[in-house]
Amino acid sequence: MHPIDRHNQTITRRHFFGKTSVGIGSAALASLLDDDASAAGIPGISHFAPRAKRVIYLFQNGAPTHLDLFDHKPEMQKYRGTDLPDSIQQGKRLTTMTQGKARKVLPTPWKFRPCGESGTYMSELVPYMGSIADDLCIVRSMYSEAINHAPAITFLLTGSEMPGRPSMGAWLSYGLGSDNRDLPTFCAMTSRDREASCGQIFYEWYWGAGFLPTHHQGVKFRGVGDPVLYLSNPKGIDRSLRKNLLEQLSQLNHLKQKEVGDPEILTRISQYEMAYRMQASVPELADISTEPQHILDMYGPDVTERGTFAQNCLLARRLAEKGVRFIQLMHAGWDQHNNLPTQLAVQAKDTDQPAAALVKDLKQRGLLDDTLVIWGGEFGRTPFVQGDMNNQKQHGRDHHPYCFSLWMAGGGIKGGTTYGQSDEFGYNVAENGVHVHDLQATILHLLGINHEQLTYRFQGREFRLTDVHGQVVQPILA
Amino acid sequence: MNTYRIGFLYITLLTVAPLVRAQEIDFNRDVRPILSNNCFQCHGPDEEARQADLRLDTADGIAEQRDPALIVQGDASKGEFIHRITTSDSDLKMPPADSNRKLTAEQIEVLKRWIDQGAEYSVHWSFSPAVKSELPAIKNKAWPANSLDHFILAKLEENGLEPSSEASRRTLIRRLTFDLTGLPPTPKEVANFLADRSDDAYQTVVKRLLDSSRFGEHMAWSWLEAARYSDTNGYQGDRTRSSYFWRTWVIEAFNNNMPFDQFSLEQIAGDLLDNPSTSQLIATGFNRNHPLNGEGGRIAEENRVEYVFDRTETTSTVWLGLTVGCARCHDHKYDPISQREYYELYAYFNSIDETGRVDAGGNARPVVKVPTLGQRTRVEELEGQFVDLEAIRNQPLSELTTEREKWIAKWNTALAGNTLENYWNTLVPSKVESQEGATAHIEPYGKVVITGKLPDFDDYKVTIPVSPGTIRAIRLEALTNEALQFRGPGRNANFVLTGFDVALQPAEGDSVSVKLIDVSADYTQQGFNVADTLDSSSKGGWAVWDGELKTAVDRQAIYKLEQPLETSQGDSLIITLKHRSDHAKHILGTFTLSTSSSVDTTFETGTVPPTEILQLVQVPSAQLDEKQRAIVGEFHRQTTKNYRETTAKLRLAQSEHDRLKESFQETMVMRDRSDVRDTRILAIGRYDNPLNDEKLSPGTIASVAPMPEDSPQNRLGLARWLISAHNPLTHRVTVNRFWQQFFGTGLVKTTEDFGSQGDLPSHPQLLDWLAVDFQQNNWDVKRLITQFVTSATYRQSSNVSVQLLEKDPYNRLLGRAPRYRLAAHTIRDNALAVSGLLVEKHGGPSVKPYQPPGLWADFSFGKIKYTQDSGDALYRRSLYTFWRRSLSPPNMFDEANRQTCEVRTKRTNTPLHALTLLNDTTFVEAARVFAQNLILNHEQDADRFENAFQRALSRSPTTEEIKLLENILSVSRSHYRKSPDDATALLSVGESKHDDSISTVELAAFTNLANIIFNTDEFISKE
Repeated sequence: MHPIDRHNQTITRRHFFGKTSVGIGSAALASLLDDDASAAGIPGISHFAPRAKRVIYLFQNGAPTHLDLFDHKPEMQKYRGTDLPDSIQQGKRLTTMTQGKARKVLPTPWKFRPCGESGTYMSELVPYMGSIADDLCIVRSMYSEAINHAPAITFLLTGSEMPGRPSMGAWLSYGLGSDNRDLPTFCAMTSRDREASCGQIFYEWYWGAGFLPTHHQGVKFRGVGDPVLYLSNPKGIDRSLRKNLLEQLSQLNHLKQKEVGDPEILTRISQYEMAYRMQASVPELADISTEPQHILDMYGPDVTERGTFAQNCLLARRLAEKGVRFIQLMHAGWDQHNNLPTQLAVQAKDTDQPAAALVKDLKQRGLLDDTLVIWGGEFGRTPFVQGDMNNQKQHGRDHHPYCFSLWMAGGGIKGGTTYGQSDEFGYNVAENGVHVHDLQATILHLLGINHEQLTYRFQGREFRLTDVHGQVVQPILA
Repeated sequence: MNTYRIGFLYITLLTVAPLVRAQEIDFNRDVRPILSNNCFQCHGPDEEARQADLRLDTADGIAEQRDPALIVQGDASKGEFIHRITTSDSDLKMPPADSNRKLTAEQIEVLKRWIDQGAEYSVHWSFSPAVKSELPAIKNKAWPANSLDHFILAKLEENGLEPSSEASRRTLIRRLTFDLTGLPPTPKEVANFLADRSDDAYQTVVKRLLDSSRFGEHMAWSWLEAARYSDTNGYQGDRTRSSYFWRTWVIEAFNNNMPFDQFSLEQIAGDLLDNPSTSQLIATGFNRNHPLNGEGGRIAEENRVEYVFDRTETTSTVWLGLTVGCARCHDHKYDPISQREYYELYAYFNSIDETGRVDAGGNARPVVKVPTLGQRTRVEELEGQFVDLEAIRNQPLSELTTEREKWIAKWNTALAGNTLENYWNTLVPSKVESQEGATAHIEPYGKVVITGKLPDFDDYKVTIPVSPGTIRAIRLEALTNEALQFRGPGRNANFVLTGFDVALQPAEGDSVSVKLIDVSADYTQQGFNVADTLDSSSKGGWAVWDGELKTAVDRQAIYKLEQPLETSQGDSLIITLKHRSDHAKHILGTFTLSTSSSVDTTFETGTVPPTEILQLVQVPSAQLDEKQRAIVGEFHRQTTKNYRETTAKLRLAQSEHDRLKESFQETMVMRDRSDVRDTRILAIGRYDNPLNDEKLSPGTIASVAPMPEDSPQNRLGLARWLISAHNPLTHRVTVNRFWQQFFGTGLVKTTEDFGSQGDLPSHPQLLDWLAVDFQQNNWDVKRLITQFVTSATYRQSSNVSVQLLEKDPYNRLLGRAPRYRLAAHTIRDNALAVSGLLVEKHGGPSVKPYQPPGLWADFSFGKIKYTQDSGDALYRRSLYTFWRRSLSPPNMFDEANRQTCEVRTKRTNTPLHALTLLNDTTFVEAARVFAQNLILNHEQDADRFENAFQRALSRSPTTEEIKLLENILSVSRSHYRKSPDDATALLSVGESKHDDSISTVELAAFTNLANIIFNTDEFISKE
């Protein structure tokens, strides 16, 4: 039997054999949640021994430039200001911003240097990431299909350019269920660069459940106000009063359940209990005052400020410690169309230290082994300049889906390595291309799931994250 | 594992098809799902993907003569088909291993039996006509209340189940009221129903609720979700549009019980009907509700093509229940819909007069202007005034005899005394030149009207031949005119005259400038000075707006000459009117000029009638013929005070009318271009990537139904096809969607997919019976709903017995009424209604109730901010809550996201919902207001408990419940006695004020009590 059918059957069985038995007291109820179907995921979905139990995706909105950060192309210096050869361009589609314009090669103005024992070349813009080079696998042959931000982000996170499909975290919540009792399975956080140079909106569907039941959607941890919407009790109701009130509510609902027999009421009772626990666990999680100074220092000066990438990275570690399955950090500000020389350095500075600190911090706690960390954007940027070659201050790079880089660390990834190669201009994949669906397949694989078997039936057909594509990238696995 | 499997099978069979017990295999029920799921991908409708030239989705394909034989009818032991699905040779085995599909032993068994029984094929069930079958035989003949019950009961009996007993009357009226109005019954309504022992008590309630205007508001919600209604465009920018006119249209259509065929026709093609009304145009907003992409870097044509896709697919989902979107890039893999047919369907929506841009404010053209209710009323008032004022103005000539004779005498005296020159003598220009190329018309009696090009600034050079005499004053009259925007006198209502230069052009020689020393105007707009027209600077000037958007009044300015100007034969005056202010397009539209030889002329000084009138005036009235008398009479009438004053009033009213019409909101509608856009198949759905050069005509899906004869090749034809008697889908899909709304799950669970990958109907005969009955009865929606709610099926108790849970856990057989959580929007309305806060105001623009601060700003990087409304707007029904497409209202969990068409309800149960209902300001405030009402109306706690339960749950609390309510009060009271500030704090939540006469401790304690009641499963559930 297909594991999903078996799953449905289990729910059914639980409904009529487990939950309808009369006289369950509220003490017994708490334990019910543990084997609640939605919390348990799909039995038998693990197809291999998982290498990772959870994922932290440091999503870099706006498309970080691979050529100035991770993909060293010293040869390009020779071609500075010359037309990018047609043999490289191959007539590929570009955005309306640079369509039909001259394409002069712009080598990176920054230096690259070998990092760590592995000697991986990385840009001087990301010294902290350089310091963890031996934990990273840099994939330099990523490629995508979409050329504009929202469709490309949607594609990477949901497997389709059009909104409407479940995001990766939702798929994992659906497939694997929850690993903790007090927090959501899938959490999303957002931040942006200080100058707000980038206009991309964080659409809710980036962490949406698509056609999966909505409880699989990512819970947005917010940088302002309540960390989770409606989390705080109204003024004048404190925690102990709330507890008392909820106990009465629970009993009222039990009376109702006894009268009408609807097992859904028991689920409701347990959801109210979970809500109550979240009211404590979420603020506790968001309260970083208990972190020692040396840890705060690791993440850099922004860490004490809510809503920053630095603080979100620290919160990601805290969520990982609590067993949250999928943590999606989204940071916008990588869209350097005309301010590469100035803005990129600022952007790199703001994100480099916290991202590296997260990996180090996980490692020193022994969590990196079963936490997969991914850092990357929706596509890369062009090797040719956007703007006037002679106006150096306003050099920029346009969108480029045909080749880009990202890195992964921890959870079953071979550290200190690189995978794939781009051509001498970083324009096309030269070797071992990794398509977005391959990346998705690999992530699922590391969590023990065969991407072809995690499916959901909707509008008459079985959908999956990788559509009908995707190959696991075996060589990068430890 | 084994027991699981048996258990599971049992359940499946019960809920979908009683397969094991049924001896006879039904192709559509038993075989097609297996083939569709496992074989059609490569052996189905998609020609491109087809392998081995084998088709298993058609009768011909299955019966095809092949070597070796595919299927030997009646003998499953023979034939390649069975061989290939049972072989152990992995090279031959079907489905192939890499397809990730696998047939189970049970499935193979079904296929074998199907072949043994003759391998009969039938068209997919939903593509064959619905037939209204005989009511099935039942044992318990007493149970059914109407026809549909027979079908439900037959199935229950078949499965060895009995229907549940009827729900209590209290439950019934709650269920009915929520289902038909989306609101709870009041205690009085419940009491009336309980007291009404007549036979038709139940029917009376049904009728009352169906007649309530709340019905339309409730029914509109699902339709809005299907239509992806939103108050904003989505995408980056996410600008606000004004589609609420369409929302009001939907509400009214449901309330008026518009037949569903007409409802469909008007929304798909209202604009193509003969002389469509504004309402029919608004209806077509249905297919303008899709998102609009206003992003900078986007290609407009790509957007436009997206919109056409959206309309094609939304229309197909809503009316046909087909996933035609699959055929955008290739032939449909499962259903007989070719890619070509997709683009033929697409062609119906491809010639809308649109650009792909957001080009009409937040809307995109085509649009139509629509008044709000208030505006409509005022327009009607004004139009009434026009008639009245015209009547007053056109005073009968007979009433004016005396006055006219005086007037005639006056001019005869002036003529006799040779004093005409002292009055105003109208100048008739020979030439008027606009420096910027506007067109000047010189009308009778010297009136100059400017039309044509409307430049920002303009000078008029007016040449007027004058007769010999003396000029001491020149008058400029700025005149209202029906031909002008807002009736003038400026071309665009107001004007700013910055210069008035006069020169004398003698018959021979150069012109001589004429110096003016003084000017006065009968009205000058504040901040302007008519004297500024005397100098040549462009500063200041003469303007006439009076601060109330009223400019449509005749005005005059009188200029005095420094020296009397003596004119001779052949002289001309050249007067230049300059408009060079900072105010663009503030230019005179209609004027006359006149002169006088007197320095004592005023605004009241009369104007000499034109020569032809003067000639008539000199003739004694009796000697004039009738026509001449009429000419004099009419001319005189227009000079009367009554006429002038009434004209002034009329002009103002007309001007207001114009302005109102101008201020009508625009709303998006469908309108075709005159030249049809070419439609081609787009390879992989890319807007700029036609597959070939062939131009497609609009067309429908052949396998569904033929096109009715004489159908126009436009959306009207499409609409007629959808609602034609031969279309096997529209009526089924429609009754199914309504069924889902009342019974929780559709008879076809996949409301959006009636194709071969969709679920089979749980009660196929019932679905068909209802569909045909609906169609035969004029697509009468209220009638259909009445059938639902008066059925015995609907009236069952929703209590869940262990037996039913075991045998039919998803309640597909309806051995009980469904019990489920109300939609989030209904829960909010419920709390508002029970608390007494609900403000029932129908229609109009959306409102912005409470929302946690910073949500919009956070998601839009501070670009879009939420400005919460106050007062009544906070308490309107959720239907009117402003819906931002990129970020839906945060307390509306599980509702459709309004990005694309959604027709199936989501119903989940998460801690976030609990947090919302416990802590959202809306619910906390409603609890406090509810609490206040309880306290003010009742002295004793016991009475307050009773009243609270009656209002919130339509029943009395039980002894056990009272104990729990007392607990709530006692923990709350003791908390607030200890911490009175907490009580004050709790009571400050929400905008409404609380009654100071109530003890804050008491009010806070009861607020908690109400808050808990609002969170009980019973309060938020339909039972």
